[in-house]
Amino acid sequence: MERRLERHRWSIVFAILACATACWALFVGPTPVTLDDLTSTLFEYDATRDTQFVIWELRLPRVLLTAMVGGALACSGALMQGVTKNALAGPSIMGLSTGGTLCLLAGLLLHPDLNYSQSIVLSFGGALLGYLTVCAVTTLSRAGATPAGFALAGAVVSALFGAITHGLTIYFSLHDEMLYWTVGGVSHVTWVQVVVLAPIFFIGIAVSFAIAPAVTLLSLGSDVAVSLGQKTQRTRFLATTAVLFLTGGAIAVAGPVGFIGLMVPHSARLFVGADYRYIVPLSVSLGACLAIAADALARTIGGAQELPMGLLTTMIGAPFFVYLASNRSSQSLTLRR
Amino acid sequence: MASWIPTLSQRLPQLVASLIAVSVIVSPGCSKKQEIPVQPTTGRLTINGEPAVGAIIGLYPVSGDFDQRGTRPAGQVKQDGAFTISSFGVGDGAPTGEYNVSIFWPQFPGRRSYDGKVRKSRHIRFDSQCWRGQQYSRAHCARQRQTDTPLGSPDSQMEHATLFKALCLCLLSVIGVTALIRSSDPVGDASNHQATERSKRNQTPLSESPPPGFGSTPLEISPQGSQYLVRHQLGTVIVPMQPTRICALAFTDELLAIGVTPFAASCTNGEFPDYLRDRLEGAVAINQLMGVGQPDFETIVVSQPDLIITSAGDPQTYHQLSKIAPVVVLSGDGDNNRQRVLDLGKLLDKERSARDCVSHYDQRIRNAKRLLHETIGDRKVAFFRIFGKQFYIHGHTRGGLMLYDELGLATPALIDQSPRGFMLSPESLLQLDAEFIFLAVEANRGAQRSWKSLLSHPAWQRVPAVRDGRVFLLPEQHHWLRPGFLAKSMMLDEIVRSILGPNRIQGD
Repeated sequence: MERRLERHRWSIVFAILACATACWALFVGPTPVTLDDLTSTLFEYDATRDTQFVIWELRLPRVLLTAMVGGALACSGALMQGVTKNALAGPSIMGLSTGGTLCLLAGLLLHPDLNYSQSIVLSFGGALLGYLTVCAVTTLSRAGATPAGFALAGAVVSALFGAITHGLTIYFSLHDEMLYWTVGGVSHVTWVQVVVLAPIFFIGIAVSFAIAPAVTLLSLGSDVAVSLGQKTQRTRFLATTAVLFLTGGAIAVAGPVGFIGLMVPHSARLFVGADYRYIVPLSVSLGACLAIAADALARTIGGAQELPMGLLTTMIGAPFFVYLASNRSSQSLTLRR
Repeated sequence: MASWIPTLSQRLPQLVASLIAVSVIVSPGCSKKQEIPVQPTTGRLTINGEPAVGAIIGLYPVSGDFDQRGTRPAGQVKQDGAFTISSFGVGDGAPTGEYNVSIFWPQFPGRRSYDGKVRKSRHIRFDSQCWRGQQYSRAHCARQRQTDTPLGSPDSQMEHATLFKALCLCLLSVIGVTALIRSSDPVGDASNHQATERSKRNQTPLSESPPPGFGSTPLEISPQGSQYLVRHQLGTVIVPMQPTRICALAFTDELLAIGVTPFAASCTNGEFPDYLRDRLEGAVAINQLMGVGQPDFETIVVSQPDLIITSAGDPQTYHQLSKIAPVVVLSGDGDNNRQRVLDLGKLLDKERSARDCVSHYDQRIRNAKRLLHETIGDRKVAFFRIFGKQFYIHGHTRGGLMLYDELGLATPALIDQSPRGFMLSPESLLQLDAEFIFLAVEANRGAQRSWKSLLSHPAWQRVPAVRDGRVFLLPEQHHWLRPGFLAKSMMLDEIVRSILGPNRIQGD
């Protein structure tokens, strides 16, 4: 038990860091908030006071939702990279994001009065459609499902769906609407969205944690996994389901937030090595941490107006990752398997 | 058992023959192996301080295979914990290079102690995977430079230092980005912003005398025979008197105001602005091509105009347009339409109606100003637009020009920070002190959906204007967004009607 705890120490460190960032994020914004306001919001909420209203109705749901979105995207990225044995796999590359966006846009055009749960269902559908299309394209290729083939198929399908989305956007003149869709943001979040996303998020995360050992084995190659007595089909199926839940939910609420899904698992790998039992939990906490920090910064640095969160995740995450990778590559196995 | 031994012995000659054949075929490949220089490689592998007897150490070249057979240098740990790596011959060593090291130890004694203590012993850094009691382990060792030194021990302190530096780097980049954003202007309404940027650029070198047709400077028009010689900001052209086929890529609104219906007019997505649609019936629609900011040249050519009126664009577009017909370029940012109306009046021989138009408009503005100031005084007015998934509050742009610059109404405090306007986050709604709000809503479906969800946001309900029910929706909003001359008159009516009540429509 002790040893396990030791291996999980980075997850715990980053989970604590995420909580700390979340607390900080509660204080960030145009309305000044004191510690007293925070405690009284939690214990004796008074909706008529602006400060307490800001904490309870605006910042808290936003922080929670951001954390869930970050964690979900990072987790699904880690699963995809493990299952497909492809270091480039991630929601934005494997057609999930673009598929979800396209489907949601189509849904909005056909039926403008969609509510939140319906739009989440649509995102699922879209993510599934995108993923299946990528799989189908890969299977069609004569070389079979090689990692490079997968990445190429993902790029092709993403480009196709992206083009269709842009076409529809232009045709129905939805640029303003899509502007915030394509960069990702969580600005107008209320408790409704949090309540809708929470069960999906927790189911997805639970499944991911449960199958993480199996994913580790699968990441060694399906031959190895099979020879060690693993039911690879079941693992793949469960992993795909979890990925669809997590990505679909995150996209429906926040739009495609770049970088997290692809790079956070790699950052996690730099800390704990190639074992998905540790990568998956660390990805969740690292992703949540990054997303909260990015969103809090997105609210602050632009002054009174906000920047989309997706921009900031990349701006924070990219140098972090590059530095880690350049420093650790000479010492430990990083991207290679 | 017994049944196949005879078979084997019968086949033995064949087997030997085929082995010889195989070795002959393979031998050219085998001879190559001698060409790869190897270094003697030995070491000791202890785990928990005990020799890992029987463990097999495999070296996987990082830069790919070094021969066609995919030779993997390997060695087995002996009783004393020592091992010798062999590649092509027994105990010959391994070629120089970087390797990933795997350790396969069939007899390892229990995974937990194994896993944990290896890290402490620091002979090898492991990531080992064990699966359901299978005696299987795989080690990702640090990439070893294949040298005389024993398998290295990465310093785990490095992790903390690296992490710290990486976080510092993040912080630096964030600070850099913040500085960048803070130092630049707040990004306003994209299209408008570009326009002002451009006009600023035009203005700076010529701040002494703005070019004709720019700002408050009139066009320079002089008769030349039966034609006009017109000097505008991008050049001088000869324009026929009283043209009949005018192509209005801009200033359609002002043309209609002085009673000239253009033969062709620009539009977006095949539709004219909603408030001009009736008056432009029958006009040729010229689409603005998406993304490039250029008109559809082919339609212009087909419509055979004898005069093109456009707003300040890039010189290339101007150049292309002037191959079709004479082009007159005018600038209008909404705050100088009076001069533009007079310019157009002079250009098209409608000077009289242009002057009437302007004076009539000024009269209406004066009346409205007086009425509004009597009624609402310094109470603040805001103009919002639903822009994507956000509220956009306009400062002194678009509809805001009318509210604040023409009518002199009070601006909300938020606008003082960013005079052009900006995207409002829900939280900044709490600081909005406007008591009257005009809310423009895009007619497309996506925007309708997002305004429904925005207007049910709890923060929106706390704005003074919303609490008192003084939000005026503008379902037809093109005249608020492109404030031409007619558009401003319509806005004026709407503002007066909304704020003063429907019974007080201002008499002319």
